[in-house]
Amino acid sequence: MSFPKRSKKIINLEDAVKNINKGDTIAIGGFAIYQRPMAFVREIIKQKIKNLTVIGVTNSIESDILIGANSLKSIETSYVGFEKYGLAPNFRNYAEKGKIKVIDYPELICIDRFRASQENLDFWPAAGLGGTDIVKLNKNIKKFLCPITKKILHAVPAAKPNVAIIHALAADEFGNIISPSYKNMAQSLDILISRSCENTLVTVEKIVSNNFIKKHPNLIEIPNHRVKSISLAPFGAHPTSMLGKYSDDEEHWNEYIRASDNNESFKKYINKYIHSSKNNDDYLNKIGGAHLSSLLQVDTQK
Amino acid sequence: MNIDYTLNELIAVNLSKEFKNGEVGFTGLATGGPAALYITAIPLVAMELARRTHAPDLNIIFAGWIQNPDLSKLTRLPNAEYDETLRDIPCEGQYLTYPYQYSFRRGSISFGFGSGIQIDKQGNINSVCIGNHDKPRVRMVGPIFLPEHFSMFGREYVMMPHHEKRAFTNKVDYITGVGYPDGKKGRKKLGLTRGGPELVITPKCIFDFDKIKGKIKVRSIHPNVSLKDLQDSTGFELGNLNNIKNTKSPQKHELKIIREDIDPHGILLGNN
Repeated sequence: MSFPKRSKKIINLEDAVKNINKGDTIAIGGFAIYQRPMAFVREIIKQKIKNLTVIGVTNSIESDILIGANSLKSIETSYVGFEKYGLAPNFRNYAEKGKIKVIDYPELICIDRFRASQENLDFWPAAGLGGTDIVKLNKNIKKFLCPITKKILHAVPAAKPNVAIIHALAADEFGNIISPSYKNMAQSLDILISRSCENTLVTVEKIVSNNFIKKHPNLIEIPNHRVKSISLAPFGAHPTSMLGKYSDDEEHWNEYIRASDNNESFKKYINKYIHSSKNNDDYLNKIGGAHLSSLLQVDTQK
Repeated sequence: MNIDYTLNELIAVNLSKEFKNGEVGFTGLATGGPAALYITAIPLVAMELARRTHAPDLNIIFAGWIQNPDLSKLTRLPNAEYDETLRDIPCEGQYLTYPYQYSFRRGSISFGFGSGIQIDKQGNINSVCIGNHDKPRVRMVGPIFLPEHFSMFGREYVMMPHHEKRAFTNKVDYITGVGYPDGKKGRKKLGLTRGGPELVITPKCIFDFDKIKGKIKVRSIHPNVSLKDLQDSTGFELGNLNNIKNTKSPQKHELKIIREDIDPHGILLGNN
């Protein structure tokens, strides 16, 4: 007897990015300078999708490169910076010219905004925001009195991303995503944003068999029914790091920062690595196999 | 006469006396140069010194997620929040996901350390921008965790690595964390029932606050800093400083603990 076949969720990266529309509000996985879905972001730039809003927590190169490529109209976050690599050059430049709208939120409130979306609430009740310019400059944050105690609180709008983009370790062809058992903020936030949105697009380092998934069912924090598509993108977080797989590429970060010094050199960078690259493989070839190998880590995850 | 000590040691020792036994101290991770020294390295040494003198039950949270690290095992100051140096340092706990293993909104953090590009005489801090917000003269990284430091922690030690006029101003251009507008009373009106800046520590002096009037004041001036230099480097009026004491010099045994036990290789405070 023959049964109907399950649907596969693998599509190529180019087609996955077609799910992003001009003007969308996107959540980009990872945290600060860790595990950003960079291959996906590069493809957004290649397809020249504009007017996007990033809803984030702590942001770095994944947003800075979108800003420099004129793809973002606004960003809502607690931080845009490169941590050990300093300030985010395009973010700073565009903000100071008034060319990008920046809406500031405190760091953990940024996460609470996704927790609100996860629970399908329209706001998160926050204490401790009174008197800050965060509240004063943001009409979407509303002061209210706790209906139980009459304490002063602020209703902070839920994140409500249209699309969530995540780079993960592995998935089977049905879209069950493997999360490592040892996680930090980057991987935890990926899980949270996958639960706050119905359009989760995932890139993975590796496609594994369904049997492999069945051997590790406890690692499925993002199950296939929460995933819209998966696309193969090895080294898809480059130049950011991937926990337990590879370190961040210091050389490339510095190349990016040098390129961001002026419009001309940034355009050249974008042309070289994005517009004149056919796809992610082509990009990786430009970075070089030996160089990429040098970033590989010994997996010491417990 | 005087024992030889560095400015970093002076600050670390004075800070250490502020912490009580049984408290929980939180330090985030700043990266690069003076910021890392002031909000990460000096606070770590101060907390570890307190643990080894009067506060054995003080808990240290390092980089926001490492509980009571063995600092002597540091081979370098970590330069990224989730780098391998931190992941692999011996410690009692790793706080890896939010909500964390502490309930900061219930008051589980006794004190923290923060910094900004500007602080004003009410104790408000700015880490966001200079000039108009929508087209600023200088845009910085953003609020990060500072609003919470200034409203949810028991108290905040503001660590300012540069004591310059433009950083110590009458009114900050953007309020990231709230000080004492109209004193503690004013904070209450804003719904801030806990916390606030306790001290502001700079290379030239230590400030504290008149929390009723809501005004910053000089608590002590570091040795070898003149009153004129201090006023000339500060953007607001300091008032009459004639009766201000010097910041207390470290004791021999305190320096010994720092140099021999806590930071034998000068990784945290440097060697000069």
